[in-house]
Amino acid sequence: MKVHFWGTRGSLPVSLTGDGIRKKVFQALQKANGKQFADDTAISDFMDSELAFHQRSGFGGSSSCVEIKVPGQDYIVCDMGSGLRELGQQIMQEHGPGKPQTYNIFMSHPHWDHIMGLPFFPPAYIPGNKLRIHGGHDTLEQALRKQQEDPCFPVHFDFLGADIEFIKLTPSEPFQCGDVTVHTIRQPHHGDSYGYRFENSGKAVVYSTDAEHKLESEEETAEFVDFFKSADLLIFDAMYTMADMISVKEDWGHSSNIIGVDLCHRAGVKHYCMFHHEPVFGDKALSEILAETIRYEEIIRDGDALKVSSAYDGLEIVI
Amino acid sequence: MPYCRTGRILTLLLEVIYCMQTYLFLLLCLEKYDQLSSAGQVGSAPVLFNNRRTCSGFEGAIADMNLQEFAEVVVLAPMGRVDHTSAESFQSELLEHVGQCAAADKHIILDMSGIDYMSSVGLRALMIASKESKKTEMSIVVSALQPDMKEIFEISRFHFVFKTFDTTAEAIKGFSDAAVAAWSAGQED
Repeated sequence: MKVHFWGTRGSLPVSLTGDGIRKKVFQALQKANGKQFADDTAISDFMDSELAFHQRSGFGGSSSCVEIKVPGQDYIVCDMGSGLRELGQQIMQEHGPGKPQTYNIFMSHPHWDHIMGLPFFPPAYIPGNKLRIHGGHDTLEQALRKQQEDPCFPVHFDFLGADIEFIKLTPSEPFQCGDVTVHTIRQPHHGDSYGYRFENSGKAVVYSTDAEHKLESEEETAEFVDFFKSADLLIFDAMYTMADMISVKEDWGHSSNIIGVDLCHRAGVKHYCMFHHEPVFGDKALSEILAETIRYEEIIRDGDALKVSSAYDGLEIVI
Repeated sequence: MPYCRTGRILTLLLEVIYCMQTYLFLLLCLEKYDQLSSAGQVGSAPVLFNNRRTCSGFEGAIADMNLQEFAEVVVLAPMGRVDHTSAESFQSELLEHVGQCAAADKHIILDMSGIDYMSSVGLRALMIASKESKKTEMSIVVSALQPDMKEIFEISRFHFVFKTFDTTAEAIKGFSDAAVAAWSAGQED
């Protein structure tokens, strides 16, 4: 399996400003300090070895959209945030309009930042394509229709040419999506959200975003530990710092970076990937949070090491 | 264009609100401590605890919680590791002390020198204790964090939630002369 992140930002898409780009260029030139490069490879090598991630690149700003790639299977996509637009562009380049495809979409919930990409997803407009939209909410279709109604959007939902089907999933009832087994769990979030565990060929990827793990009940926590059990990759809502999450942002529906580490340790997860980044945080702040989370994992570790990473738009992880 | 200017102003406004939220929270956390420090309250409150009492009864990795009383200040010193196996008992013991101290107009110094490790569920217990204390006039400050715990406080941003001191001796200086005197006398024993 491969996991491709098309959108990793929480709540609202963001964009790097001109000032932000200028800072990166400034830091790169400062670091180069008049250095001469023999060729393009030398420039790339310099960037990779001498510049930090937040200086040479960035986390991106599209909202939640993650593709689970399984060889020989139809498309599997988690959430339709603004990152879906770029996935759609790539699909159009790859297949063009003449090769119908099936898209299995698994929705965490119908909040705005998780649905806003659909009207900008070209395959949805092409007859012959199939969109199977899975989720635990009864309101998915209503939410998708409403966002394309007047006066919010000029192209109505009924104008979408693809064959669109809604499939209601029930937690604790495994669902077969081709050769991929999908497990569903209901998560604590305003209006509920759903997490998904995708299993194929002995590997497991869990997509669990927009969930506030308050740690109030060991029974509830244990249910998630069981759901995450031995996963090869956990994509986790690590939007806030611990202090923010349980004070000023209590009941805002999101978790913290270190709760993710603790749950991964208990569940024996191999790779913990932080996701649904706070829009207020810039690239440097997110890089610092990643470094701190790696350090927390080292301090708290009482067994096998856990790989810790932070998702960014364009990241691909091979499982 | 006016629309763009309005948008930028709104964005700035939202960011300011976000910063103010964090700042105000920090302020609320520290305000109580500063008030008490400057007031220099003298230990006229009733004595609740016997000095150097040890509260046992923790399950899991927590061994016990030492308790010492110095005028209006109670120094609580939990020991061991706080994780999901021990957090529940740690929390209930801590909240019991918070309740007793609040009822007796006493304040708490949480001496963390005996805590090797605390996961998120332990931090949550500290936050609940902090919230409980804010319902009353009492304050809770933290002292003597071990290096790893100091890092955990910074990573979790709990150093914004609690006023922290390198040593309990430093922490007690923020309270009354009577508390400092009682503390000094205790060190000479």
